[in-house]
Amino acid sequence: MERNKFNRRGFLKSSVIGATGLVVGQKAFAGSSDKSSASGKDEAKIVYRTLGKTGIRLPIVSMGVMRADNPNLVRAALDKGIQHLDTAHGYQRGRNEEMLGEVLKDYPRDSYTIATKISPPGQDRRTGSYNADEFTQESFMEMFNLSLERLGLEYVDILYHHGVSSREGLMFEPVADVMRKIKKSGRARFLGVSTHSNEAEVLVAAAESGFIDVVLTAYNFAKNVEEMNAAIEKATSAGLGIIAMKPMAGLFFDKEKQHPINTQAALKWVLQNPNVHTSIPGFTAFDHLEDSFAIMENPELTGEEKRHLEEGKNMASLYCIGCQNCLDQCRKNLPVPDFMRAYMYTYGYSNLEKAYNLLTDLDLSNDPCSGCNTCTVTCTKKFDIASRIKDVSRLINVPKEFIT
Amino acid sequence: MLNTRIFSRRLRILMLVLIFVSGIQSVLPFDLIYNKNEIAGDITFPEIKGWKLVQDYPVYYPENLWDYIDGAADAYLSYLFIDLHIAEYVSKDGNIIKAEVYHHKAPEYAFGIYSIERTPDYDFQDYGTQGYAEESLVHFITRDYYVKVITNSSGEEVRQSIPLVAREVAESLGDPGPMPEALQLFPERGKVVHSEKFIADNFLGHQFMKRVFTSDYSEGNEDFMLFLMEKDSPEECKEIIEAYYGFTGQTVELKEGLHTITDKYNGTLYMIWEGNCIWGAMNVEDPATGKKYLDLMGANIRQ
Repeated sequence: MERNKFNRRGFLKSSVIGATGLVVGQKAFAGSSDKSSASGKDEAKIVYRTLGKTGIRLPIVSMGVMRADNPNLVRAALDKGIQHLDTAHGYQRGRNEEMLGEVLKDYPRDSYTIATKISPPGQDRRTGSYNADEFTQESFMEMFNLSLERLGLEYVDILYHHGVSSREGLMFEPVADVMRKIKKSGRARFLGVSTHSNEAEVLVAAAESGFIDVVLTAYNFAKNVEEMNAAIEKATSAGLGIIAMKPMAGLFFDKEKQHPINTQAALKWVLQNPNVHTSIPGFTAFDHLEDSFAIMENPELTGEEKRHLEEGKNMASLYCIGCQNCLDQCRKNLPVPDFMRAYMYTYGYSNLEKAYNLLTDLDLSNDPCSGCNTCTVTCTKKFDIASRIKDVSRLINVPKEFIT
Repeated sequence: MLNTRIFSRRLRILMLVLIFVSGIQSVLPFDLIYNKNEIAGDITFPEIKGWKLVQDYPVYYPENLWDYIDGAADAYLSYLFIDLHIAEYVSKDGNIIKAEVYHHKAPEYAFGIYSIERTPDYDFQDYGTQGYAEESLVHFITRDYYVKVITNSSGEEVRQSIPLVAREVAESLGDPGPMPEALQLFPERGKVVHSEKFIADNFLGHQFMKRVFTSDYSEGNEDFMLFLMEKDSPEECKEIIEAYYGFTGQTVELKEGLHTITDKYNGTLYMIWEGNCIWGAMNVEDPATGKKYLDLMGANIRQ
């Protein structure tokens, strides 16, 4: 098979044509970033940041390999300037690590950094806590050894405890202990934790853990921004490196897939936070790579991109996903999904008639939560259920002739 | 006068309504598409003698699948994942066997996500449409479900019971149905058994290459891949060929027949476009081998 391996220096040289005269806003990166050329010349202007106390210097965009099954895509990414690759023991049942192993054997070990993740057996995904009877350090070590074997490497740069959603899970000593042993053996340079649920709690716990070097966290414009910014700040103050995942927050603002997210804008938004050292959007196409490379050079959000994200965020906050996980949680057995639909009709679609008909069909009072002081419903989308029910139920009082 | 009063009253109430809905942030040009049946499918897990059926897990949806399988969720979503139902079978000794039923939009998507997680050297056994077993798991597909029966427990009881649980769950999901029909169009000669895949999108890293069936082949010293796309119209096929040439920068007449694509990332591809179909070969060292296999595949397609 023919394979045109891009020469990184050559690429950078050619890309300088496009980058000439490029002015990148610096204010978001003061103190933690620098722009320089991987070729050592002041040519292409890639923005780099240092991954906390690890000292690893990375371009602000790295590669989430999770969905990539084409080794040529990874080669292209490495040849163009991507330096950090992110995979996991479980992705595609190990095929992802195997594919990377095939690619990486052609690259000097010091030309890239790589992270893998292990989801230890025994973790209850509902609570984030561990069943000690189901976890053994031997099984964790076996999984890690298998990952190294698949990757064809003697060590990884970061080993993550995969999918942690609570302080308790992060601090589960048998996992922490085996990870420290691996680091001590030199087979993982740094230890990390990955989280996409209760991220703020995990970030703070990682900052206080004393053994975590890097946090890979879900972080995007659509989710708990203030809380996340504070937690990330705390983690970086403790010297931790921060890598953002799920920066796109999905591909659409709405379930009906009518309103696509400008993914470049979403990624740029993440990178406006100087405490985020790099991000790992999941590349599956060469076009994604080109787009991301442009952002590596210029992550500044345009005014239009800012407006797009703000408007989309407001819109997305209205949608019930219809998961029905709330159905059994309400003390008064209220049909919560129906109320959430009515709320969507009202505030998202401006379709008062539909909302009114739905609410009146339920045959409930205009104060359905009456007599219930504390809401027991936990919404998958973190909606304030009681508040929304109260708001939308007022519609029942409006005379029908003024609705239809 | 009466009409004026009514109008005035209506106006006041209308204003109240407008104030009430002052939180409206956008008027959307489409109506809500919300269909419980489309969103959530019900799964009835079978009772199994000697094992207590426990269903404590929530149903997972595209929005929260990450909570259960972390970043692997991305791949599942690209294969039109609908929902995940989970049950645990608990023995008196406290052993647990977990059954995970991933529901996808159509059988080809269930096959697709299954196919990218398996390799030809697995121990394939008779579960559902196709499946395989290891010491602590059975994975199989049946219709639009991808099922994983797994355990972290050990011991003889568990080892013997995993196949039983897998078969009971498979049976409860009904007639397994056939493998995707398109796979029958691949030549048998030289085919690496159980290497067939369905790639939902971004085949070879190109956004214009979607819904592609592939299979590995081996002949002599050559290992290569054949692939097939069936589209709704010749125009769709033409657009794909046009997009590919646009990517490579080749200037070629866009007509049905053989196309040799020189892809700087993926090497040389031989592709035939006929009617609604595109099929091709990649990683072929000897063009004659490629032509031979494309002819074999073409004969199957034209039948």
